[in-house]
Amino acid sequence: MNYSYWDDQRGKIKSKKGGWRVGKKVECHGLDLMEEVVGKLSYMQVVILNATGKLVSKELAEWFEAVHICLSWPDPRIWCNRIGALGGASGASTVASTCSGVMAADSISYGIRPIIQGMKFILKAGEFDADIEDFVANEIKNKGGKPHLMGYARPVANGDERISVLERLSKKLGFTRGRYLDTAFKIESILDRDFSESMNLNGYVSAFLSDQCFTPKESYRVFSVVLSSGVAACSVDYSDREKGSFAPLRVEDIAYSGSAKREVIV
Amino acid sequence: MSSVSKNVRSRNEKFATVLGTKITEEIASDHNPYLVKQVRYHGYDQTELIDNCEVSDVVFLLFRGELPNENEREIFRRLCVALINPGMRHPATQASITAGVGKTIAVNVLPIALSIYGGDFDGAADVEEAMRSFRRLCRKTPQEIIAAIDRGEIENIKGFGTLYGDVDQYSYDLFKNILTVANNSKLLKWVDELNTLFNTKGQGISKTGLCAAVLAELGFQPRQGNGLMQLMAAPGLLAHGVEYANKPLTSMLFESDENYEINYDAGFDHSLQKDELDLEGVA
Repeated sequence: MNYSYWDDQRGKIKSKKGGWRVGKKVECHGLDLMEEVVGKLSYMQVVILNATGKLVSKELAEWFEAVHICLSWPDPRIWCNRIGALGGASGASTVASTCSGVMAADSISYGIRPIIQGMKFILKAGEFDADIEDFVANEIKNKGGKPHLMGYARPVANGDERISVLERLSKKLGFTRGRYLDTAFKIESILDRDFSESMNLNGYVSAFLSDQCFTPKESYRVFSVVLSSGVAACSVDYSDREKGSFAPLRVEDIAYSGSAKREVIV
Repeated sequence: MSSVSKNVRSRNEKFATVLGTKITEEIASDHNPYLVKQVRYHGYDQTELIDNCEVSDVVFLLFRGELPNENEREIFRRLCVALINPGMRHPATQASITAGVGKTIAVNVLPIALSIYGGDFDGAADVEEAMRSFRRLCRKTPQEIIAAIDRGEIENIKGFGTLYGDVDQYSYDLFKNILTVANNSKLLKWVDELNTLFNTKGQGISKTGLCAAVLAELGFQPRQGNGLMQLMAAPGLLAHGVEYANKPLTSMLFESDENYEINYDAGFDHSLQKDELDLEGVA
């Protein structure tokens, strides 16, 4: 019988996370949510706990929260925020608009998902510490000679204002620079010297969290709604205005380049 | 200027100022430039399509750029019906009915279901990759493919596998149904032969594989595959969700406490263990 595993799950829930014991307590990773968590742990500690099973210090949770703030820009030109604004202007609910923007950020190139590749990159780079010049040269060669390394060379702008802010906060919270952040800054030096390119937020966060022994999968899970606040801001900005007020396009604003007029042959 | 922003420089990239498309041509109304008086899809007037075409024909047109010929029309129509309803037990349908019975606002029910249908468990996640594999590997014989898999030279191909531990025979039945009207398709015959060989290894074609094979045969691009499979399943997913929208909350599944186990042994990995944490000292 090949389906015994599913039979074993049928009609039951086997949680590794916790649950609600009606009239008794709510368990969350072994903690009593009402008695031991509310008012004692920060919301971000609980977010990380639920996403990874790791109960981290309030300092590390504060650092995670800062990353969320760093990605809460209320600028609807940013693609995921744009979706929020379009939702607001279309009369879609704030929840639907925000969730849609968050889903858009589940992108292989930008937003949330690149943290996986960013961490894989820096974990690999960390193995080449003594030969980091050779490692970077080889990676660039594999990218056709362009410095498009995951975690570096941000789109739209060169440089990233968020890194110095997070560095300052890291020191304030008592974190010291570890092996992977060291490697990340060495790579940045090489890219700055040869291409005038720098590390981006993904590169910094990837290296910091590698130093904190988070895995790529854990980090992706913690950051699953990291952009939500900026998207929500853009949604509500347009939801109380005249419908269709965000990025309205006249017919003439679309350049059609397809087939000429033709008739359906029945 | 913020001090931390002083070293951030715009790349001054040129972004588009108008949008472009080969799909939809709109003719503006005479009195309002935001309204239309005529709409064409790939050159065909929409009202002509309404008069003469089935929904599946126009879906084909939107993605392929041409209306299907008679054989393509029948193959694509069959695929749309084959995938139109993942069934009540599918996780995406369960999500749909859970949203329905939860009185989720109606417009959210379908997006919720389609999001869950985007997974790789009997869902749409791997259609693109399967289409790429079929297009790339069909130059080799099915025997060569299986031998290469056995030698570890290529990984198992998306679109083939098991469902609940066994070959999904019903997926193959649907595939065979479509094959009856695709006698001239070398690709579908190749997939059929490959399926026979996979069967000897306890695997078979999935609905993902079925969708990928037929879309590849019809000339759709791999990038279109995942979304098209979601689109085809949408009617069934929504129908079940709406069916539950008027039912009481108690009509949803809610396992009893006796059937709710909590086991922290697997996957409990506190870096800061409970007994190390100064709970009183945490703000």
